[in-house]
Amino acid sequence: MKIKDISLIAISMMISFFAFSQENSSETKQKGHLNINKFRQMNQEFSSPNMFRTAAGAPGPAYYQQQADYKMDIELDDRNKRIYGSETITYTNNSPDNLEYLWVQLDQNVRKKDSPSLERDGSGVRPFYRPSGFTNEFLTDPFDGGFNVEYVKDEDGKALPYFINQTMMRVDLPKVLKSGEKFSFSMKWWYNIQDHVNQDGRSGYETFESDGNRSYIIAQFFPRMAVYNETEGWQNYQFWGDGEFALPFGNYEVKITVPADHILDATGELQNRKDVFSKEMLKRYNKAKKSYEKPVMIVTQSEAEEAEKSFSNNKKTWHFKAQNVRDFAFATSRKFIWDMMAVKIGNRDVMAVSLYPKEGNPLWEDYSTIVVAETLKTYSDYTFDYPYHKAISVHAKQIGMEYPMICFNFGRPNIDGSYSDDVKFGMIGVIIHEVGHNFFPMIVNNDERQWAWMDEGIDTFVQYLTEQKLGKDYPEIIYPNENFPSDRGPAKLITDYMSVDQNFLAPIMSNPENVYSLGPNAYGKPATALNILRETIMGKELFDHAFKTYSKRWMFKHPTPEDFFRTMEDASAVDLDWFWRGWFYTTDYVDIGIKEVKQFYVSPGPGKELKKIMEERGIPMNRLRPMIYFEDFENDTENLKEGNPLENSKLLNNYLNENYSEDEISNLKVPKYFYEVVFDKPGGLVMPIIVEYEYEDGTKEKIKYPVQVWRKNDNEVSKLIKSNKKIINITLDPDLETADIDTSNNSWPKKQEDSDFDKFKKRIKG
Amino acid sequence: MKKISLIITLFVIYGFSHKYYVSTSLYDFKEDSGSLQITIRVFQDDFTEIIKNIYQIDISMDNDLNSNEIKSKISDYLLSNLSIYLDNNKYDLFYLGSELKNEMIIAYLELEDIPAFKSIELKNTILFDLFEKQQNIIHLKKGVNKRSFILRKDVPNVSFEF
Repeated sequence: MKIKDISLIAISMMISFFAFSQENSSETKQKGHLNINKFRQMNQEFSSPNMFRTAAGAPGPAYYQQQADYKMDIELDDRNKRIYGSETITYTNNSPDNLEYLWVQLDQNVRKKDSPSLERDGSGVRPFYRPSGFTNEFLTDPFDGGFNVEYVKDEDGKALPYFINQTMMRVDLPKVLKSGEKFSFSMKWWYNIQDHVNQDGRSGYETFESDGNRSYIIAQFFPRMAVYNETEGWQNYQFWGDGEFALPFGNYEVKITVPADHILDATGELQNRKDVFSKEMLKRYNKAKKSYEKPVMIVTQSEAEEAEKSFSNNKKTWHFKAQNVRDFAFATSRKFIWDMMAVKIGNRDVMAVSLYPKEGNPLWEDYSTIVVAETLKTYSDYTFDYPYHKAISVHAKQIGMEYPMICFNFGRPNIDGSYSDDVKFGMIGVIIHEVGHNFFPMIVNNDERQWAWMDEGIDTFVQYLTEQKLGKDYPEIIYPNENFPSDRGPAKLITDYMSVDQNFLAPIMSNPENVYSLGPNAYGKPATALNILRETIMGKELFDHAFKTYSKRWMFKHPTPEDFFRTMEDASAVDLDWFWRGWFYTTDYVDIGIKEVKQFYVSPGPGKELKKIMEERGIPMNRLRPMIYFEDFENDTENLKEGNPLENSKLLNNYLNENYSEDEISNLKVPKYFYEVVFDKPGGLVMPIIVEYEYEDGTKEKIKYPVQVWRKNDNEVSKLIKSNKKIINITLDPDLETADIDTSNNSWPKKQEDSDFDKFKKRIKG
Repeated sequence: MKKISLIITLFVIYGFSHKYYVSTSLYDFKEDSGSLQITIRVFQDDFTEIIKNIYQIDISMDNDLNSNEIKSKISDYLLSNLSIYLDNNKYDLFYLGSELKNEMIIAYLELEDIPAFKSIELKNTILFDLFEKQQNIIHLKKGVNKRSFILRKDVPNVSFEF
């Protein structure tokens, strides 16, 4: 075969052939593989869209949800720390299925003496114990908790057969409950309330040694209907303690009887305010309804302190009604101070409310209600207008827990009233978080038992946005900080977690019972992932629109993870399957580095690399057609590297002169510096490459290469940079927005970054 | 959240919680300065518990981990649970101090002016007294060499040859 000349294309083909034949010199043949591309679609992980849930992520034409309405009479026995109740549940079967039995949740049963939950973890002997710990563990009986069910009856008062399996109770129906039918039944029960300070829990009482009174925060206190739907059938995952709740919506009418000197608030609208409020309280309440700037005291600290001194043997009944809520909770104590203010949401007035014992002051009277109001406003901006008429923040010593319209929050000053910034910002953070849970999952009602991240992670994300907004709206609250010191949200705060030993990591898409560390797994990492999506991947406009679409679509409904993933893509036209797969379905982390930087100039003749290839192939140099050649800076022997391409290449010069006018040529931007930057990716996650180039005149340029650069080579990718200014520094992810766990490979020339150790040592040595 | 008590410890509240018993220790040999830098990360609640148990001092309530009193207790605890032998000779570590970061306590120790060596033996029994299942993950860095190992109650020490 006679070859006249060779084009560069042919040479480059030879190069790749050469490389190919080198790699395949061994005897074994390569095996094929499935689609392992990180940008493949999620078709295998997602269930098929259907008439219930569409491919767009919205409720489909056949979407349904069950309804459970409750009528309850509750009595709290403050002396014996017990709660008694009777309830009538009316269950509406909106599903297309006929039901043979109903499942009711008895979450208090996780505290039964023989609860399997007690034995769900391994245990061992410790070499030493504190006396209190030893006594609790070995000398005292376990707490006698759990529901004592007195009866289960149908509408006619006839006993219904039932069976209790741990925290679930099956009620057998006398006849099949057909699609579209309702069934009413009644139950009576009581249980011992536990001490949430010493025995933990999401609810319970706290005893205040100084005056002997208790405050009660009461939740999961009544048998509640389980969810039945088209994805799970009846919920069958027991309550073990970590995975929270899945509950249908319904209407509640609840009467709660407590000692007459208690102050009480609960989910729902108070029906008999005139009976339970004093005239003075009513007057103050009417004032609070018009106070948009600051809270009005309904019960003052001195009034609460007065009430602490006695114990009323009289009773008072508080009557509430709530429409379209998924749960009910209340708080009651004679110790409570009570304040309220109004907040405009859309064109409606909502009440922001706080209940706290004096032990919470001065922190609580200063901040709680203001923070509730700010939370309702900010969350409404990002989702939908808060639909309920109030939101209450109740002070509990060490709990942060959410229910519809009411939540329990920690943050307690020292006995002398002093408190650290950690306590203050921790309290503000938890109030935002728990009030924010009204939106997720109380209204956008995911299955918490299966997917904690859907409410915890999404809520923590909006919590971050709200904390930052609060810092802007109330600079005096965060002074001397410039921004609210959020502990979750910013990318750089999740890198410690994402770099821990892989044996102790689980993907976000895991059941909350089975992860090693629920805080960073279900709160921190998904919140950070959403923040990165918003700020770095999608941009705020696209993200906020899609996020609002999701919130509105699933308001008062039951979304699944896929409904969220699909909606975010559908409403933004951004394919995010690679992001969901990497961040939510794996434990991979981000680590992108600069592997190598080479500089080139345009040379008059073939460069060293090209000569080498020609020689190896045995092709004489004179077969080369005239070309414009690049040569590595390192190989410059004739001092041509400072020349610009027009000076160095006669061919280019001639070409321009033949094809362009003098004017046009003088207007051309002729780059003088050419760089090849090789990025490598030790981490498993693909992310956009965000690079800052710093030029010798001190100017900087930030360039974002789309994540798609990784689609054909998951290990490394090169970029050719042309510039008429010399590059002196290259920095990857300069603003720490991608959660890159190792930044030691993020700069060129390599910067020796101080380790934590060096930083600490420098600090203590001053 | 408490992890070992037999009282029901059911609920994850808002805060960070962890249910695995792990510390991470980085032993970083700086060849240019001839020093060994040790960075130990332990969960704050675990560490608070062990210090309270042994020294009856509550380090969770006090923000200053490096006040004289607390520093001497932490130093005493760490030095009695960490030992290091280079070519079979025991060396005494120096405790610099600790800081709290993301609910982890990070403790820094140093060994200066170390000679060239071929073998190293480490013992790291931090928190083994508290948790049956405690695992201490050891990362060793010397120049381009990196090694990792997991120490448990039944395997509290490890040797490396470079």
